[in-house]
Amino acid sequence: MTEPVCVPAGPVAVLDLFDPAQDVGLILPGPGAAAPDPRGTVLRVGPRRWWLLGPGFADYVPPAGAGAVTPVGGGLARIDLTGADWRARLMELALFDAEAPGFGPGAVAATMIAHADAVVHVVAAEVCMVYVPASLADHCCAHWGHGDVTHNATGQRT
Amino acid sequence: MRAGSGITGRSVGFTFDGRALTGQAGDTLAAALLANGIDLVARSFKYHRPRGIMAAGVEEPSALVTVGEGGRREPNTRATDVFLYDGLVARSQNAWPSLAFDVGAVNGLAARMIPAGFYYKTFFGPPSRWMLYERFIRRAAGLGAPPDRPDPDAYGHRAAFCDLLVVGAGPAGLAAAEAAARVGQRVILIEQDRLPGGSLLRESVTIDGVPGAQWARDAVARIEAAGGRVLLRTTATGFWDHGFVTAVERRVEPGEVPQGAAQVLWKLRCKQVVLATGALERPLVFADNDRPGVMLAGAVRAYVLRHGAAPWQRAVLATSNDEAYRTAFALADAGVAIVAILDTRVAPDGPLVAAARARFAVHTGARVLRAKARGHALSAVEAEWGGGRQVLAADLLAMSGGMTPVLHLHRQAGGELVFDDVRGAFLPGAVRQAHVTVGAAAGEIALAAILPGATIDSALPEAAPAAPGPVWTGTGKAFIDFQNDVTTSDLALAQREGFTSSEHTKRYTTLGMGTDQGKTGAMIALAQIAQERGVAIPEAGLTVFRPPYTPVTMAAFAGPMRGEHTAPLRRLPLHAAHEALGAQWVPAGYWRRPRAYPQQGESTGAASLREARMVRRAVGLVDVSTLAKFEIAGPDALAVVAAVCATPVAKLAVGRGRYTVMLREDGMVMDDGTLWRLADDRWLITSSSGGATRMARHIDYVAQVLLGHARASIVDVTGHWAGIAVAGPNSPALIAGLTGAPAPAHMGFATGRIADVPVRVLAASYSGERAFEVHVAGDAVAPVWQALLNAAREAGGGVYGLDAMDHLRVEKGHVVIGAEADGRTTPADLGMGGMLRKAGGFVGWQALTRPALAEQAGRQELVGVAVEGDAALPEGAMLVAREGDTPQGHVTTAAPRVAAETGWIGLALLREGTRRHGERLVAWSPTRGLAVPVTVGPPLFHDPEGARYRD
Repeated sequence: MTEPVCVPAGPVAVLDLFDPAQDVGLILPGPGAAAPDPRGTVLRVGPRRWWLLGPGFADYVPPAGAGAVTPVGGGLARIDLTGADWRARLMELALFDAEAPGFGPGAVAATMIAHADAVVHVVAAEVCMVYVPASLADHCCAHWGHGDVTHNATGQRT
Repeated sequence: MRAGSGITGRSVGFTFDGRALTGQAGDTLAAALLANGIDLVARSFKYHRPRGIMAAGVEEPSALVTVGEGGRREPNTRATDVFLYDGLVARSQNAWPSLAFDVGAVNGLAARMIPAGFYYKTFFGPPSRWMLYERFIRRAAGLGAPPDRPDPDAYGHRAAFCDLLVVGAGPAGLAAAEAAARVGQRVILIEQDRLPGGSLLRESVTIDGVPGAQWARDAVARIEAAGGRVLLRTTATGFWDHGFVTAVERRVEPGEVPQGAAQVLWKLRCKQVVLATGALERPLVFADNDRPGVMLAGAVRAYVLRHGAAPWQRAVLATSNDEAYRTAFALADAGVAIVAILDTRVAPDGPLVAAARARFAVHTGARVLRAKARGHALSAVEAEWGGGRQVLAADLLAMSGGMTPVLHLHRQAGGELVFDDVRGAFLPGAVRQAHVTVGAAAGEIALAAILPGATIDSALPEAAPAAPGPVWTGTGKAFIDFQNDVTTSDLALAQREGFTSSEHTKRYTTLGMGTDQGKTGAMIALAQIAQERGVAIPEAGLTVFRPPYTPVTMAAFAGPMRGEHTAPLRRLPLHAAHEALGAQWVPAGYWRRPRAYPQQGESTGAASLREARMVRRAVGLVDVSTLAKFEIAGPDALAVVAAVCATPVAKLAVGRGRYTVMLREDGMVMDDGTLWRLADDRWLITSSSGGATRMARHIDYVAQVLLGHARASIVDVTGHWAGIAVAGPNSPALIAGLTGAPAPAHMGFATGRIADVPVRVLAASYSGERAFEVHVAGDAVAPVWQALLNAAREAGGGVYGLDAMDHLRVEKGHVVIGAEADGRTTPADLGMGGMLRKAGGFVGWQALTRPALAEQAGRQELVGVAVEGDAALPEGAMLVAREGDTPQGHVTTAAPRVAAETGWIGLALLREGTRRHGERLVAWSPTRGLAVPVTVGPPLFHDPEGARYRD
């Protein structure tokens, strides 16, 4: 049974690179992937956009003219879905293929979940971290509880 | 007998119209009613004619009942499409005082007075009459009553992706799904029935040595073992673009208490789709063909072979094809006397017909003229053959007027139709999406052809393709659309009166507009229309195959988006803090924001005015976290900012900001806000809360499209930075006290710490007072808020809400997006023409140089209006010279005066308003019955010199 656990996302910075081929002192994961880094974790979330997760990137600055870093973590919440059926839970609210055979540990998807821009990071076979705007975290978590998609006429979980 | 399904269900108790009955689990309500000897199930829609069970699936037009109680009550449920469960409560509908004696049946006597098009010929005249008509129409309309309490159950949504979706788990669908699953494709197989097998459930056939129903269950097991997903009791409701199919899974039956979700709406993204949706049998058309006891032949066979229900004594089979012959054998094997088989064909042949001739009385060139009744039920069949008329005593007439392939999904997917003269039916033609139609839906009914590798044993020979029945030309009520009581006479009348287009015929007669959407009647109607018009059937035209294929409960569409989750609900980072302060919430887009903080016994209006005056007098805090914020950084950041913002930008020094306005490409104001230079190559734009998403798209569009992949990073930091505005004469001291540094000058920017949390301080005002926005990371805002609140209270201030903020900005003449900047105003209209960048080069500049916008003649311009007297100013009121005159403008926002003791002021858009200061007009609101005299003036009522911005 997958239960959502919602926590502040912690330090998250957007790294936009103007020339992704340039060496910027990071191991940059390819599309739809994450890569570990001694300072934290790097997620690919767009064609030329990465997320730098963790306090270790606080002082990171790309070479002049290569790109820009902007903190965004203050507005994000992380919802951890742990359990065998996290894929089903995601697909109750999102129109993306969490059941794709290639969407395993290390995979990243930037998508929409319950109206919210979301970044999904598969951490392990039964652990998935979903980053959503903190302002929508309650709304998302309210949809994920136990068992089925279960809300009655008043919107309460059943 | 149950040779088809192999059901050996346990006994189940249920009620119908309060009568306690028993059936077997696995049976439909219709099967159980038949088995209990109940043949009268419903009353028809218009004439309240007695109706029984005609079909055995979702196509049933007549046997509509209400199932369930309270909030789970589901009207218009097909008795043929609900499976028994313990405690099922079913009631007949559309009958009073009882099903057996229904007063509404008098409508049948007045049938000539209420023909097709009755509504259009009767209910016309001025709109006011509709108030009268509506009362009667609503009382007469509809079948079952909707539930009068909220549905207590949960409904879910679920997405799924697959290489292959197969719709229909009959033999063709099972074969397709198994073949794909075996080669490793991701397969989803959906079937609306509770059991797989489709047509196999109503046949005595063995496949590879096992009964057909068992073979189907084994096939499902093989598909699942190969990784396929099989969803039974799931109906594909729509086939949309790009391989998107929606399907509704019923996890419980109507009225049944679920464990978890009652239904789930599946949203299926499919690379390929196989449609194995089968075919529906057509009725024959003759007088009184709607009597209880007149049934479709295939349905009769299903009740006998699948459900073991054969409550009849004497059966007549009437057919235009081989289909009914199979039913004759099944009935005879169940002990029902076969009175005759009446075949409309002159010389039918083939092995099945030959086998029947050896056992039953088969009459060719025969047709049914009338179904006769004793009471409400069938008692005899009047028919003619060989030049004479005969009356055959019978309690069952099993009829078959041909087969109609189910092509709804094929058509919804954009597929073409090809008419097949032999079958008298449309078959699937060219497709536009990656889908294919197989099996009976494609006109193939031979099991050996559908399962070429299988060993098939059947006691009966294969049937020939089904030919259509003849068009009715006799007298009497011969029904085409059983659910909406549309007769052959109605169709003929529509053609005579010029409603010849099939779409017009449909609406004029209500043909195909019932909950069954004309599944049984569409093709026989088309045949008659074609004959009336003297054209071939394909030329008669088809109506649109609209989703959903079968009725879908509204709750399934809503799914989890109910109650407070109907729309996304965004919460401020300080939601709890505002709640603790007694905030009165107001929806602002997806957000909930504090409108005011009323004290005990205080009205919202009084609270807002108190809060606004507190700001003018001392200091106030308002949560502005929802304001859109964008950071733009990189070598081309200046170019992006200069294109987006219409005001001068290049000379803005680092650490300074300015008010700015953003335009659409047509020159109209899209948004406004502030622009700050944080570093040489880093900027911050703030804009309105409501326009945040639009502005994010716009900036991206400018950078990526208009400037061609600018080397600039554009990040929406709206969520990252919570914002607290500190406004009022005491605000500079408050900021200085908390940061330990002098407060930045008006439109200055500084960084610092409050409560040991890093903050940005932006000296900007929306209130007409010295003010600051404190930006702080959203996950660290709580201590900063508390420190600011404590300091504000010590300085004689407190918190204020959106209404107070509005009062303050009106008094200062600040516009708001949506009210004053309503999408039709240019900067010049709003008095901002002078602040635009003279050199141009911003989005919207070219449009502003065109003659229509370069001159202000005739344009609506921003003005202030002051009420003469103490009356409140009606927001939205028209500005007129006298009541009833042509409007010259309208009041965009109204507010009580804050700086003065009494009176109301407002902002307005008035034609050529800047030239009309001093003019007296009337703010007239006819809908509210208000007319308030006002004086036009400049849109500025407070501190015109701007002295209060300076320390």
